[in-house]
Amino acid sequence: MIEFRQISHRYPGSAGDLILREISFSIAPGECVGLTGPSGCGKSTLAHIGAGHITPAGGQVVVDGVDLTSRPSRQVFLIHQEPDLFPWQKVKKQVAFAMGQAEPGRVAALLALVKLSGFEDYYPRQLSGGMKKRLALARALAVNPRLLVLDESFSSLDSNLKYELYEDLRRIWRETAATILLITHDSRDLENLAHREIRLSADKPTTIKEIRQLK
Amino acid sequence: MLENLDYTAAGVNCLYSLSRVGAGVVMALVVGVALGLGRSKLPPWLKRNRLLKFLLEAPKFPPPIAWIPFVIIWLGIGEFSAWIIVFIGAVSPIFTSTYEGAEAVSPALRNCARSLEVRGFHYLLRIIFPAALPQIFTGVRVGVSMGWMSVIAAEMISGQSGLGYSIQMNRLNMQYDLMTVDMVLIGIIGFLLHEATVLLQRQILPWHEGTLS
Ligand SMILES: Nc1ncnc2c1ncn2[C@@H]1O[C@H](COP(=O)(O)OP(=O)(O)OP(=O)(O)O)[C@@H](O)[C@H]1O
Ligand SMILES: [Mg+2]
Repeated sequence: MIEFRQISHRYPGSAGDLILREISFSIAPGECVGLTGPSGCGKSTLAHIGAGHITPAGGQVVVDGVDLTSRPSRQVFLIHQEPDLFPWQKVKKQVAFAMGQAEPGRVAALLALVKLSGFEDYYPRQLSGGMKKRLALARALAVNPRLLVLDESFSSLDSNLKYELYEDLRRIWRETAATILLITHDSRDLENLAHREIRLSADKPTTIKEIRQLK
Repeated sequence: MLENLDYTAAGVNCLYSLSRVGAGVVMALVVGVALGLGRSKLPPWLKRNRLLKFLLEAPKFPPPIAWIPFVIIWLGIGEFSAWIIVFIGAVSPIFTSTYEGAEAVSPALRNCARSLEVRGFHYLLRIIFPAALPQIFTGVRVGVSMGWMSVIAAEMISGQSGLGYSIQMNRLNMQYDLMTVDMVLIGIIGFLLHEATVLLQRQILPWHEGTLS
């Protein structure tokens, strides 16, 4: 069980205005939850708080009863909006590095899962945009986190590729039973993937506008 | 013209100068990278400390040639003194570029490494160091050039051998044609040294966008 408890946040400097106010929700194991809201409402901020990269002004992130607020760990893994592959690592190394201990068989299996077999010895700069996204996904699955956060991971891609990746993600999600928080500004992206949609409000500070059951 | 050119002596002088650059640059590489990475690990309040900044930045400004008298007083005349002069010339660009490269590692990469629980010395060695390598190489290129210029200056003033020493000797013997030969050799070797660092970069950084293949 992953719980976001009463999360509030303000960035220092930006007039000290509250960006997020008392956001609370929880995610059950194996669930895929969509988080939507207009651009700039604070979705990425919430994702970084979830992963422990940012210390919130208030509230806690609790994973299976353990308070992980501002403690980055392998429990909650975020696929950033910005590119974050290590440019010096080959494809297979990216996945192996994320696993901690060596499991060559699992590296191959994960690369097959994201359809990157045959590209083991490529560097990130030799991959296309979509391939990089798929590699980031394979690496995140290698970590095997309790919660996988995908922050607009596919939104910069053209719609065909995006559709394809969502199909892949659905298949992967069925095969791995991962717990996913899927962030997007377009609720249509969630249609055949998410169980629930948590929609954030447009007004400042951001709160939860509605929680909608999709399945 | 050039009837007095002794090919063996010229070759030996080139080797002398090159060996000094090699030794000095290797020392500068070890010290510069270690200091640069170490400085990037300082807590933010220490990084902002004006006095520390001054102490680290100000010593870069006296050029290597101005250090020569001090090095002679402290260490005398000899191989080690020449290495130190090269070291002084090469270390600051390597130090600066390592520090700046380490500071420029993107928050996305840092966050990702923290989430993978890569910490402490591992974090420095496996994440920050490789991420900073392209910038470190820029420093090495500048450092090698600086080292090459410094060794010539050192040999002119206190050398017993090397291309700088050869220029001085040829000047005393009024063999201007041979002085010119030395200058041309310095130019050629400096150019080749530069090309060698580019080749090395291609070998070590095949993953870097800026590395031409
Ligand atoms: N490092 C920062 N310092 C100050 N303010 C920030 C910082 N990062 C984000 N903000 C502000 O916080 C608010 C929320 O930003 P955030 O990136 O979380 O939005 P988002 O919902 O992810 O938007 P998008 O859909 O465009 O990705 C914005 O108003 C932004 O200006
Ligand atoms: Mg965002």
